[in-house]
Amino acid sequence: MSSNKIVLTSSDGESFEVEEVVARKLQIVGHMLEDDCVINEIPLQNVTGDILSMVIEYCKTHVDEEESEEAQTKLKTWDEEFMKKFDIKTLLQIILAANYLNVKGLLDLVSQTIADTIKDYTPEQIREVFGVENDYTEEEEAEVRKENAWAFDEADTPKP
Amino acid sequence: MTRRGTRRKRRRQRGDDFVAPEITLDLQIEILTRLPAKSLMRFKCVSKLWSSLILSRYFSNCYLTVASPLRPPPRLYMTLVDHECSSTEVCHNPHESALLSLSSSSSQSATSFYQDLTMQGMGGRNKSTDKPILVKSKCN
Repeated sequence: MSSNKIVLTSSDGESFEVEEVVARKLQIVGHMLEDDCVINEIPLQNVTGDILSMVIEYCKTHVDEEESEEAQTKLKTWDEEFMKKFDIKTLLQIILAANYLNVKGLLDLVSQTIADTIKDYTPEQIREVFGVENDYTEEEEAEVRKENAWAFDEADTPKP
Repeated sequence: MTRRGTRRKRRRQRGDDFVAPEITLDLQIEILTRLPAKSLMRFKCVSKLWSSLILSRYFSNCYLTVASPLRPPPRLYMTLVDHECSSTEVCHNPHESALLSLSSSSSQSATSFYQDLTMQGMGGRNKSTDKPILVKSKCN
């Protein structure tokens, strides 16, 4: 594999110089390179520098996916520690970036982390985090809550 | 490009403090398919759209193909009710019903499924075959 350097530029103008093998982990970049439409600098319009740097950190760590069980366990532990650093707002930024940059492994990882984070949320918290508008009337919502009362017993107690 | 960015920002700033990034529907599905069933039932209260999404056939198909560490592998639950009366009547003898649970690994084929049914449902209580047995099933 060549050790070409590629410069990735974020929407807010931050530049990151990375090895080509790392940049190829971003499938959006991989496709561009295959189409020969870039040489060494790639502007990425939909992702800010702070989020892009995290995506690059992930890609650097995952650059050689070894098959051995030991390596896999080590990567898994790294993934868990890596995800612990982020709050829900940052996780949502990362999922958008992983989707746009097309990094499958990171998309799976961050989706699962978000699910772990929100699983005990109340509907109110979900609306706030996802910016969902409540289109139920008060009566309708009360009805749906009543039907699913069993699912609420833990959610209404505040989280530690 | 820059102009569009500013416009979006302005719209987002209308909210009070934190305004969620625009998570597209397919990303929402990506996240929701990894949740335990209990969370999903609660999140039906979020909005009508979420409720109809969670209840849709499309979603349950996605849900079953994604493995999540938050939930056990799908199992099939059935209650067998020994029925003396007409088939629509509710059973009043709960001790005469049996709960069976099958995981997908233990019911690879229809043959093993029927064997389980015969052993636990019929053999256990020594009932003759002409009495109807009510089978209620639920897949989690």
